[in-house]
Amino acid sequence: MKAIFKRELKAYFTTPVGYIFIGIFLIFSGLLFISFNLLGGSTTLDGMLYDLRIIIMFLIPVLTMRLFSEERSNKTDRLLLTAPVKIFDIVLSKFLAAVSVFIITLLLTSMYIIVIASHTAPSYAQIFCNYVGFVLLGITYISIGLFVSSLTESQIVSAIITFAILFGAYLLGTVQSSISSPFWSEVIGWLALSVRFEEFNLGVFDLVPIVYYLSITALFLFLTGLVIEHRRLK
Amino acid sequence: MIEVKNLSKNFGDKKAIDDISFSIGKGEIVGLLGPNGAGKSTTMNIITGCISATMGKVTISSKDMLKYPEEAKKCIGYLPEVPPLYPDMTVLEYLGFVFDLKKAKGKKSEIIKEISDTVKISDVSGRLIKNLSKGYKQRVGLAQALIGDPEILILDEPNAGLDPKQVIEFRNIIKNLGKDRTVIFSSHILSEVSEVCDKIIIINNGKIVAEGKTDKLSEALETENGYTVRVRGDKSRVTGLLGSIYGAYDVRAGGTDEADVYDYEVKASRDIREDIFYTMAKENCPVLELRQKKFSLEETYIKITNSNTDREFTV
Repeated sequence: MKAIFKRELKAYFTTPVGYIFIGIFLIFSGLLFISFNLLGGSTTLDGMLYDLRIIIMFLIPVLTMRLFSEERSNKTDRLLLTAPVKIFDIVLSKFLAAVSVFIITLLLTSMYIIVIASHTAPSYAQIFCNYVGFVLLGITYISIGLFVSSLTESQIVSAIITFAILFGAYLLGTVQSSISSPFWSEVIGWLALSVRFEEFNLGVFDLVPIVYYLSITALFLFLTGLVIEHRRLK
Repeated sequence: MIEVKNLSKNFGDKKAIDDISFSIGKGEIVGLLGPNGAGKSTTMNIITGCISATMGKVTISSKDMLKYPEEAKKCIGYLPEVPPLYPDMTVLEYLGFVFDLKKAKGKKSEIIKEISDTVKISDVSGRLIKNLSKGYKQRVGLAQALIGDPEILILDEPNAGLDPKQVIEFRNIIKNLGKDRTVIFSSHILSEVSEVCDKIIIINNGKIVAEGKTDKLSEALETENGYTVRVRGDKSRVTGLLGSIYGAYDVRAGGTDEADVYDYEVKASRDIREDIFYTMAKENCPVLELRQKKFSLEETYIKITNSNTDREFTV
């Protein structure tokens, strides 16, 4: 498992994917930080992270598109499937590698906290709460991207479908308030992935959204393993 | 060592392999032969655990592939038809990754160096795989299969796309590796297989159509005796005489440059060489030439893979 994780993580930086992800993320986060904090005078990072939730809908598909699609198109999946490792270990290693790049990128944004701290006392609790929510949202998106990449050989198709799913889930969140039926409003509330992040964004630290995101992540990791196993049996 | 029992695999409605059984002993080099699409790669993919069978059982070193996949997979080194290489890694990085992936034992750098020397890739160890030639990529693929010192090597068309010099080099490497390992080697080219293998299994349309020791296979497949006889005499009379010999069932006459001399192709269910001689001598029709047709392994192969026979030959 360690071997696959190491290889995946390294592959992000031997190809431009890792740099593109980190670079674009930091450019947007920097612009948002200037706008909300340096010009707006906010002592938290909630404005920046709230808008970054849109940016990662575009960026996470780039991060996950190659994970299984590339293995299939290069036929390297044969190496993994004939090696003495469990399918779930392969899935988990790839997932953790993508999560690591995401978290490394987020750690780089911690310099903004230092900038705030050099001027005034930052609201650490609220910043922490925001980061927890953002990480949970990010890993959920990654698990969906990983699942989609296990479905197709084409990286482009994988990225487009992942984006379509993430964007679709986001749009559901925007229409939720205009739905009169309480039942459908509730259903849409469960499907709209980014809605629960908003609670963290407001500084509310609750167990329910944590369980929600972790459950969806676990579900998609499980489904990814199932797809690969199913292809072996097919 | 390898025990395959009643293996079948369906892809949708298509039966890729249909009730295949064979066993391979320790230290044997076995050739899996068949035309493209016969089911060779599918069989190999199932043996290595890459895909699972619709029905049947694979046992590797007395470990069931379905029940103990990890233990069984540890015994196998597999080089698929397309070597599973990561183009953005250097050869050394790649072999290091495979070493960790297979949880191989021993000192990593020493083992990788030893294997690189065996398959002659030491001079490219620092190069990116995407920049290597086809021949080198194939050898890196073989090196990958050798990591973990597997008792069984499964090589799917390892010579495909190599130039003749590389083919000979590769063949020698495989022969050497086969000295202390069990090797299954697939190809659709017979000469490659007969050069290297002790035993041949011929697959066609997902079924085993012939199986046996390389040298004995062609003999065993001669289920009919064929003769070419050149006789001086009246064509219809000689045809009748040849046809009257006990066991002869198909006589065809063809012309020659000489007057009143014809070549006859005779098929028979038994050895009729002496009968031909005596019959013709008695009837005053001199036999100018008599040749028994030997089927080369190549002819045999083409014959059985062309016929849609279910008949199985075993030596």
